Amino acid sequence: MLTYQIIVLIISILGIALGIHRYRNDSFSTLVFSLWTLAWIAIIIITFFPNITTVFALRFGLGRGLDAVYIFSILLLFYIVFKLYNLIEQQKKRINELVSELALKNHED
Amino acid sequence: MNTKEIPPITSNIYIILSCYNEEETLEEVVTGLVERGFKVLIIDDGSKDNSPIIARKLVKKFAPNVYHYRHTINVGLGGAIKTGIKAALSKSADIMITFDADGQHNPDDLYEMYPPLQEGKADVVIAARDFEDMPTGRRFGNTVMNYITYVFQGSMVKDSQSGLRAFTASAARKLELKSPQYGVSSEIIGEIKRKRLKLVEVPMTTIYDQRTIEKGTNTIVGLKIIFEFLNETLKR
Repeated sequence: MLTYQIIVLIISILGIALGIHRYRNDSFSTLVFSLWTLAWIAIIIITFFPNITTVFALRFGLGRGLDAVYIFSILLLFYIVFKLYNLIEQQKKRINELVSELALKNHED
Repeated sequence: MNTKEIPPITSNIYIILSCYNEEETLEEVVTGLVERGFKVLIIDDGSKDNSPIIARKLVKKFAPNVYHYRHTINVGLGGAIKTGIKAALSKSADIMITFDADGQHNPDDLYEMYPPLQEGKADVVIAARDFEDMPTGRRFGNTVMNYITYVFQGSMVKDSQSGLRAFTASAARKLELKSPQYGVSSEIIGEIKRKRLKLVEVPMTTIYDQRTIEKGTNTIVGLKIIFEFLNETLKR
């Protein structure tokens, strides 16, 4: 086993453990927990069997296997950031409505 | 304007006074409005200075003509206006007028605003500042904002960022405002067009001093408004 594989394995196990902890705490929904765990398992598989990426890369016409991983990672990160941004916006809206309702309920006259 | 020229108030008019850290001017502004016969809804948008204390004092002093609504945290101008409209509608207002608590508006300008609404000649009245009187930077910024409003909201008006706007209750009920912050001014212009409300623009005088210049629409606020519009346009 190569050094980087050991390091990635340890980080991945920690990642999965963190996911289980969050899931038990109710901070992760079942969907998020499943996606989180799948992502770490995928990382472990890719680390130990790097040739798998080449199969994907060839199928999508992306050349090298690692390039495919980078491109998919960037796309995934963009998607997550977009999702987070929308979630924050929604929460902001809900907080604003709550603040307004409280003001209307507790006014002085 | 002398007393003879003051148009009679024949309807239930409420001033929506949005206030954020205005301890220096709040009392003077509210007093000026009450003395002219208007009822005032102070919408304190999470001020961190003495504005809430002053507001409470004014509620007692001018009861039952002054009311105080407090946002526990700062939401923004759009949020304050929305709370103000809901508050005015709950008080069965016939007409509501948004007004700034920073002292930049002249209460005498209100005399131009409610008559067209009382007479049924308009649904919304917006008082437009004279751009010629503005400091150069401000004039440029507001002209740019007029064009941005035109691009995103499809309506060209004399002063899209004016804080002095009067609505009839039925017009106010129709407004669907999403922007929590400064974007609300342009959004109102767009809503007037979308809801086919009759708009009348009247001139107003603006009092400029260092304080009001620092607080108004600057470049950063302008950029934030553009970003807000882009976001809303993409979501539609």
